[in-house]
Amino acid sequence: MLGYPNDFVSFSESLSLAQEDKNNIFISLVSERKNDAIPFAVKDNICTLTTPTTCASRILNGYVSPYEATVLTKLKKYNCSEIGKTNLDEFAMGTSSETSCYGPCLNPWDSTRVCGGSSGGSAASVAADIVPFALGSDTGGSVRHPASFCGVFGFRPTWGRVSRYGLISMASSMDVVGVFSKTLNEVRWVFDAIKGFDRNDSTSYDVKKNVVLRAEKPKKVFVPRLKDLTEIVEPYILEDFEILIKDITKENINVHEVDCNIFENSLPVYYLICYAEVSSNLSRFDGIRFGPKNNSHPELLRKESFGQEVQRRILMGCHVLSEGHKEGLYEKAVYLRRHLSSTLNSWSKDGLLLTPTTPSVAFEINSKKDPIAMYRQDFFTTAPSLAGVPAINIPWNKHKGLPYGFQVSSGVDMDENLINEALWINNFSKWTR
Amino acid sequence: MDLNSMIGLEIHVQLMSQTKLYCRCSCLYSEPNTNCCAVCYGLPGALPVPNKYAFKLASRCAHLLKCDLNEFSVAERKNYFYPDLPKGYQISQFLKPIGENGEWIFYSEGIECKARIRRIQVEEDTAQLIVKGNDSLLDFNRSGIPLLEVVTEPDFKNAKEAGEFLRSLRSSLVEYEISTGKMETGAMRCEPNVSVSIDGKVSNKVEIKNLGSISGVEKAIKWEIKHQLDQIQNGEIVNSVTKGWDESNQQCILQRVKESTSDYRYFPEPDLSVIKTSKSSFNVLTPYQKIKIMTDEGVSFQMARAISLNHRIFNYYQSFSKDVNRKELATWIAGPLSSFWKGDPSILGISPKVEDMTKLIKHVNSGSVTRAIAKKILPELIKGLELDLLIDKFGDAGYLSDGDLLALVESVIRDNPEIVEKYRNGKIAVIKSLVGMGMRQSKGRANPESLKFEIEKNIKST
Repeated sequence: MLGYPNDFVSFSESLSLAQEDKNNIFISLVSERKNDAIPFAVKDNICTLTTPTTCASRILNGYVSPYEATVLTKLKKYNCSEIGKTNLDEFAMGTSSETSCYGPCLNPWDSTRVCGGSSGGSAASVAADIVPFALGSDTGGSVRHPASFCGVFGFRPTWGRVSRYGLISMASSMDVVGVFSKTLNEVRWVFDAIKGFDRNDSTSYDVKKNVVLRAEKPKKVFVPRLKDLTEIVEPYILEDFEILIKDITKENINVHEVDCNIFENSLPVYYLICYAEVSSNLSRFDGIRFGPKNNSHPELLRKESFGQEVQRRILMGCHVLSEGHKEGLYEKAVYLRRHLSSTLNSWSKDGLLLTPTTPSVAFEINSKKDPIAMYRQDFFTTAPSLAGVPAINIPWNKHKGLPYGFQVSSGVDMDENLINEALWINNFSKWTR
Repeated sequence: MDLNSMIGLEIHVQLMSQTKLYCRCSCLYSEPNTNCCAVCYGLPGALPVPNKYAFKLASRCAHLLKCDLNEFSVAERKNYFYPDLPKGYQISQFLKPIGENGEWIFYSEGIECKARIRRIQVEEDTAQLIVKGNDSLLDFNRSGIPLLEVVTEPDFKNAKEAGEFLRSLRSSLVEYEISTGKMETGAMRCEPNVSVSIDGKVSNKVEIKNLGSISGVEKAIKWEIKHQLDQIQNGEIVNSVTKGWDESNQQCILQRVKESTSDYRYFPEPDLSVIKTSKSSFNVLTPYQKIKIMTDEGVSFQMARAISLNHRIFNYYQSFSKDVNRKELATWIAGPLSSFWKGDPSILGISPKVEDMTKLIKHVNSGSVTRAIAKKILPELIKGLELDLLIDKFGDAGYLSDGDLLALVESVIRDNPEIVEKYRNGKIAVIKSLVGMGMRQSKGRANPESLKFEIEKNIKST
């Protein structure tokens, strides 16, 4: 049985039991749900009415949103009931769920290791069988990455297909609400419940198409050039990846190798745009309206309340947008993003892009001190984010008891088709509990 | 020495929309912090949803100002810190505003002027910061109200030009229902920037804020130009600063020194898609064109200007048939009628009927009703009484016959020997009181000019 390692940060009002007695909470909670409502967990950067929404940051300590995120309102119509809020990297900035003000979220498979991030708590709560599904948010890989480290499916929808109203923005142009679950059927069910136009998010929209859930064989598969991968991913992951390519080639699928530069270049482009949007999105936490009520000067209050990674991104964001640097940094990144986006979408016309999700299995807590080393965890996940296309982590195998997954991604609005193709690819997975 | 001043204007007008620019809250006046939602307060997770009607109004203004319309305009974030800005950025426009390269032609003191419009852009208003003693209070009712910013080139040469530009522009904004144009409520705000040049050397720009009326704008510009010229003549340097107009002391006072130009770190608002606005098309008649129409019909510039600045008054003028003497009509409208209308926005409701007014003017022209009696009739006519009955009430409403006039003159002179004596001793001004008495005695039936002429003639001949 898996443990309950600092994955929840608060519980819904109806469950005001002592937090120490977590085991009992979950038993009572899963068995005694009113009207057999389906329980689910919510990342703590999505606004809920009955629990605080803190983004695991001191600046939002105790903040209760006066309104509810659209995704939650929609799920309630499907007889789903949230049981609590899950741990994350502060403001979803990170790939380990260690920068939380509540302390690191531990990996259910090995409590000395991280569970990935930033939606670590949501991934862990599904992996630990606490809930059948959980909501996370994915900007540069924050759903797919912890899904890989925790061994669950993690789905990032096309940007705009799910309302962001009530999701506290990190980098708005890439933020999406994502889904964790143990089966693709459930992923599709949740996606169907939360997708569609919302009058409170003008970038959301409906897609009129009827795609039945069933395994679908992709016509063509694009993979990173294998010889480039040796320096990027661990050998056990590469080995499995090569086996998969052989397997699908046998199925008469055209496998096409692409240059790894597209991923290598995505990283700086992603971070430049992310920094810029973070610096603006977080400026509302100006030290006047939010944060502890003490006599600190607003500027000092921000310094005291934001963690290191958040401060780094705000400062970098102000820099990349500032006069004299904007053209060479932010605008160049926007230009490259457009280029990359059209490349990825053109591939999706013929088939899907298949990569490892993470370069390794979960690493030990506090082992990655260098921010660049942490950023490289996003090596394969940022390209689909920049292009706004859907992507899924498929739990693939375990190495020394630790899970890792593979990522499939497709083109804009191909979400339902991608889930079907992932179902087919999943037939080759070596995943066992 | 060749002295010139250059004035540019930045005008903010609140668009006449029922709801805010990026949410559905009401724009109506109400108790502080009652027309507010998560978007107005900039709460985490809230997203802007554009108000298409506000952009439609902006497109109307682009048409009015002959701007090139960007059918796909881009909202951008203007990042800066201020307590009245809850998100830490204002959703404005930058590289692709809704309109660019327009112009506005207007008259200033009878001379035709043209101001180039650099850009017009749609943006959200900030909250209102109210300082009460030691407290700084914030009212978020204003947060998110749709604003249109109009930026002109520095094309105004003096305060009067800037003022006349604002008056004529405001009149059209009201006419085409783009804004209420009320400066006293802050629905229209203007920030002029002023610099002077001496022999081609241009001084730094000074921005003036806090102006509550168009005459305030004129006074502040006038003051600032004189101040800058004095500074230069005293060998001082004009610094690039922001000043505020102090109404009680009638002078500009320093608000803040600009150390460097602020860097607003603009970038496209990722929470919004490109905003599509379609072109407006309607027939525009600007105050400039209205003045031309009226002066071509023989109306004096001053009267034409006064009528052109209120579209309801102009429409009233236009609703008369072309055979009505236009000059006479304008005199009635710009004179006695305008003083009845003063301050009342529902002009048409209290105007004399066009046919009554036409008749009255014809009576005056033919002499069957004297001008003085017509003026007395006017308030009754506005109350809705019958014109013919009113005229009948005066009995004979026409001018006195020559004989009656002379009899009147003799009686006035006979009854006022001491005033006549004063006149004879050189106090010619007293003639006015003699004429006044004659007018009263005649119950308005004397022609004041003839009366004056005959009195003078009579005194001199005896």
